[in-house]
Amino acid sequence: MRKFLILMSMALTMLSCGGPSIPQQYTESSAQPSIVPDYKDVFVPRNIAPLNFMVDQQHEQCVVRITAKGGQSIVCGHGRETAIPISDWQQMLQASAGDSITVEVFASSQGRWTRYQPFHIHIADCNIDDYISYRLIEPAYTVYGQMSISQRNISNFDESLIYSTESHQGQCVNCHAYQNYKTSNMLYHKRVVDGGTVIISDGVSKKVDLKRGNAISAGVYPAWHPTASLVAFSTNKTHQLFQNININKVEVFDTESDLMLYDVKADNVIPIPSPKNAMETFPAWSSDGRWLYYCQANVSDSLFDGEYVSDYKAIKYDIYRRSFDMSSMSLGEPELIYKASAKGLSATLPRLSPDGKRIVFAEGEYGCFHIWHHDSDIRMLNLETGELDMLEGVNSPAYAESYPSFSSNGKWLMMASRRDDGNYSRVYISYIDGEKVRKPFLLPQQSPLHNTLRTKSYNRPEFMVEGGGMKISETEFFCE
Amino acid sequence: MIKHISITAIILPIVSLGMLMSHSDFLYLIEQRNIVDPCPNGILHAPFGAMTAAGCQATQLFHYPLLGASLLSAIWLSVFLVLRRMVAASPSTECLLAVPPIALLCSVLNVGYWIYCCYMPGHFVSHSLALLSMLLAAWLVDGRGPVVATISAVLLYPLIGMYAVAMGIALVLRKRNNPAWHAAMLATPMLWYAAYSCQCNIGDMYLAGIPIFQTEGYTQAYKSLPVIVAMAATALMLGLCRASIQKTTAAKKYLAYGAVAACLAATWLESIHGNSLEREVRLMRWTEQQQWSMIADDCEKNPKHTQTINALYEHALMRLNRLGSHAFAFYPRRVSNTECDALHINIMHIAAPLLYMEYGMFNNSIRWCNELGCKYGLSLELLRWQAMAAVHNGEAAAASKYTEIIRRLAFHGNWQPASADPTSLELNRGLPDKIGHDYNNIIKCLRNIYTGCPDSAMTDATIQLAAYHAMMNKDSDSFMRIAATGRLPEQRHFQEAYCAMSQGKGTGSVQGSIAASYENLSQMLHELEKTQNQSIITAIRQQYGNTYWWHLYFEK
Repeated sequence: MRKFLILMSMALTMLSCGGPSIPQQYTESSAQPSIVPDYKDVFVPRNIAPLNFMVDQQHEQCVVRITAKGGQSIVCGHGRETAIPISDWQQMLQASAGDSITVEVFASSQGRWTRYQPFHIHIADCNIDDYISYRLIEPAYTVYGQMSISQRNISNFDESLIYSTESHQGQCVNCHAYQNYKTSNMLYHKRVVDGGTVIISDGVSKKVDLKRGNAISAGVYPAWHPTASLVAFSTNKTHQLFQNININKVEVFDTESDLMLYDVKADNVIPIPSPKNAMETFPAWSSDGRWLYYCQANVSDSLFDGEYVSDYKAIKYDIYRRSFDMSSMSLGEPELIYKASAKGLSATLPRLSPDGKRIVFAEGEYGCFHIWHHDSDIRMLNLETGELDMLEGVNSPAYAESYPSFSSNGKWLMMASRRDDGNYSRVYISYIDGEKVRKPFLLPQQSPLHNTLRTKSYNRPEFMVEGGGMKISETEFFCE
Repeated sequence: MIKHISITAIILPIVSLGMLMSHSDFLYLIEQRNIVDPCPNGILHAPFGAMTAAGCQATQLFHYPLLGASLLSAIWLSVFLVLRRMVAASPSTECLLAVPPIALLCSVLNVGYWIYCCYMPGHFVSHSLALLSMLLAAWLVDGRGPVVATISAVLLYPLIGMYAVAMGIALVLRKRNNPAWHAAMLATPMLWYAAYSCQCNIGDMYLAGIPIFQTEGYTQAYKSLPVIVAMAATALMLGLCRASIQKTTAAKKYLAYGAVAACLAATWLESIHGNSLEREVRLMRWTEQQQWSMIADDCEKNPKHTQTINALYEHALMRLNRLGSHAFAFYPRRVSNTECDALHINIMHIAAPLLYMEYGMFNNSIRWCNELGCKYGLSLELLRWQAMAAVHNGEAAAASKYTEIIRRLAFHGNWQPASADPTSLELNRGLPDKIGHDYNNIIKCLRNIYTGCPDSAMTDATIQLAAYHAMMNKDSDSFMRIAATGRLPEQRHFQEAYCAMSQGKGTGSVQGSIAASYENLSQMLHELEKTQNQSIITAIRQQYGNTYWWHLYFEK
C-alpha cells in the first residue's frame, strides 16, 4: 500500500508539472530568432502538420508561444525544439485560415533567457493534398542499397512504405507516377532484380517489360494521361560521369532518347517518331489531356563518343508540346513553348498546373539532371501571357532546386531542393498566392533534427489526394 | 565444486579479454566501421531489430577497445553463469558450458576483412546480447509448460529473432513435451511474416539473427557457423544435455575438454592473425594523424605490402618529399594494382575515401564515402571522412550535417572535423577540371589524373606526384614534359628516370655517378638482349633492384 501511494504521488507530481511556461525574466532582443528550419513568414495550408523548429546551437533551451488572432495560444518547447502539440496546432490553423499566427521565441543561453522579436506564419485559406510520396535514396552515384518509395501524410507525421527493396537485394526502384494524383492508377519501375514496370490499373497490378521492338530502352520517365488508360514514357540511353573538382560532382546525361505511348489496357507500345538528332524526354500531360509537353535537346552526332561526351555543357533542352487526339491516338507536330537554349540554358521536368495556364520546370545551365546542378532553379511560365516568373523568393541562391509539381488544387508548388546542405534533397512547398509564389517551407517533421539526421534524399516528390493509403491491398501490392 | 566453477568462470573472461585485446587495432576498427543509423526505424522494423539497434549502440563502447572487450567478456561470462545455473553441470564437464561464449568470441574475431564489405549492423555485440536474452528468458519461463514456452518464443521473436525459436525448442526438449510443439516453434517466423512482409522475404524470417557473409555474389557461409554453434549448442545443452552432463564419466570429461579446445583452436585459426588487416588500420590511423615517418619506417622495415599498404606508403613518401629518393629503394615490395587485399576486398573498400581526400580529390572522396555507405552501411569512419572532405571542398553545410550526426554518438560529443590540410588543398588546386570515371581503381585514377595535370597549374606538391606517376606508367612523354619545367627535385629516382627517358638527349643535371651507373646497366641490357642469358637478370636484380630502372625494364 505504501509503495502504491508513493507511485501515485510520483505520478501526480509528474502530471502536475505540466508543459513549459513563459520565463518570468528575460531580456528583449531586437532581432528575430535564428531557427531551423526557417519558418519565418512562410505561408502554409490549413491542414499542414505542426511546423516544429529548433533554435540555434548557441541556445540550450527554448519556449515558444504561438498565438492566433483570436487570442488562442499554445506554449511549448522541449530542449532546443518546439514540440508543438498536434491537436492544438490543428485547431489553431483551422481558426486562423486566411490570417496569420504569431510566434514568440524565448531562448536561454547559460541560464539567461532572451525574448526575440516575434514572427508570423501565414495560414492560407485552402488545403493541400493530404499525402505526398517520394523515393528515399542515398545521394549515391553508381551503387545503391536499400531504397523505398514512401508516402507521408503531411497533415501529421506518419510516413509509411509503398514499396521497399529491403527484401530484394540489389534492386532499384524508381519513377513512381500517378494518374490524377490517385493511387488506383499508378506505376513505378523495378530495375536490375526482378526488373520491369509495375503498373497498377484500377487497383490491379501487373508487371510489364516496356522494351519493345527497336526502342532505345524500356520506359523511363512516365506521365499518366489524366483521363485515358495511357502513359507517355521517355526511353533513354543514360550515362553518368563524375566531376573531378567541379562542385556539381556528378553529370548524368543521355546520348539518345525518345518518347512513346503505352496503352495500359491493350498492353501496346506506340512509338512517337522524332527528328534525327533530337532527344526528347520528360513527358507531361496538360490536365485536359489534349497536349503532351516534353523537353527536347537538339544535338549533333559528334557530341558523343560512346559513354563520353565531348562537351556535356552543350546539351541544352527546350520545352515543346504536341497536340494529342484521343480518338486516333495520334500526336500533332512539335510546337516550341520555351526556348531555354536561346538564353544558354536548359529546361527540364515540365509540369502543368491543373487549370492548364501555367507550366513549371527546372532550369539550369546545361543538361537534364538538374538535381546535381547547383545553379538549377524552378521557373514558372504563364502560358497565356508568356510571362516567365523567375521565382526568386522560392529558389535558393546557391543550391539545386528540381522536380517541381503542382498540388491537385493548383495552389501549392512542391519541389526537391538541396538548399540545406548541398547534397541531400528535401521537400519544399510554396503557396501560389494568385500571381505571387510565396517563400517555401520545408516539409515539417516531428523533430526538426530529422532532416539533419536522415541521410537519404527525398527524390521525385509527388502529391497524392488519397488519404488512408493505397486502395489496393498490401498483399497484392507487394506480391505482384 | 566451487573451486572448479571459479576456475572456469575466471579463465573464460581472461581468455576472451586477452584474445580480444591482442587485436586492439581490429577493435578500434569495429567502432570506426560501426553502422551509424541516425534514424533507426528501418532497423527496428525488422525481426532481430532490437538486438541490432542495441548492438549498434553498444559497439560505440569500442571507442575504448578495452571497454568494448570488457563488455563482451562480461556478457559471455553472464551467458556461462546463467547456462551453468540452468544446466547444473558437474565440475568436470562444466567447461563444456564455455562453448557458446567461445563461439561468440570466434564470431567477433572471424569477421576480418568482411568488416569492410558486409552490412551487418551491430554484429559484434548483438549476438551476445541475443544469446544472453534467450538464456534469461528461458530461465524465467522454464518449467511453465509448452504453452508458455511457445507464447514466449512468439513474443520474443521480433526482439531476438531465431534465438527465440531456439529457446522454445530447448524448453520443449527440456521437459520432454510432445514433439508437436516443435512445429509450433518453427512456425513462429511464419506467424510474424505478415507483420514484416514489406521488409523481408519468408526465407529472411528464418535467418533473423544469423549473420550472412555475402556480398556481390560471393558467400562464405562457414563464417556464420560460430553464431549458429553458439545458438544451437546453448539450445542443445538446455534441452538435451542436462542429465548427461551431470553424470560424469571419463569419456564425457575428455569430450568436454576436447570440445572446448576445438572451439578455441577454431577461434584462433579464424581470427585475423596473420593478415595485414590490422597493419592497414594502423597505417590509416597514422595517415590521419599525419605521422608520415612512422608509416615510412613501418613499410620499409616490413616489405610485405598489400595494395592498400603500398598506396599509404607512397602517399607518406610524397608527404615526406621522398618519392623521388625512396619509392623504388625497397624493391621488391609491390603488389599488383588490381590484386585484392583479401577475399575480393581491395583498396577501394578500405582506404579510397581517405586517400582521395589526401590527394586533393575531394569529390571522389565524397563519392566513395557515399558509395560505400550506401552499400555496406554508413559508418563512423565514412561519416568522419565525409565531414572532412566536405570541409576541404568548401561545403560547410554538408560538413555541419555530418558533424551533427557524429556528435550524437557516445564519446564524440565534441567531435569536429580537422581544419583543411594545406597540402591536400594545394594538390586540389593543381588538378585539371575534368569529367570522367575512376573505374573503381584509385591507383589508376591517380596515375592518370596527375600525369595529366596542366603544367601551368602544377605546384611543388603536384610536380613530384606527376613525375612519379608518369614513371609508374612508364610514360616518357609525360615525364619529359614535367622534367622540362625544371622544377623537379634533384632526387635519385627522378634522375634515373631522366637518364632512361631522355633517350640520349643530354643528361642535364643528372649526377655523374647515376649517369655512369645507367651506362653500365645499358650494357648489361644490351648483353641480355643479345644472349638471353637469364643470369644477367639476376645480376641486374642484385645491382639495380633498388632503382627505378628495375621497375622500368622488368616490372610489368
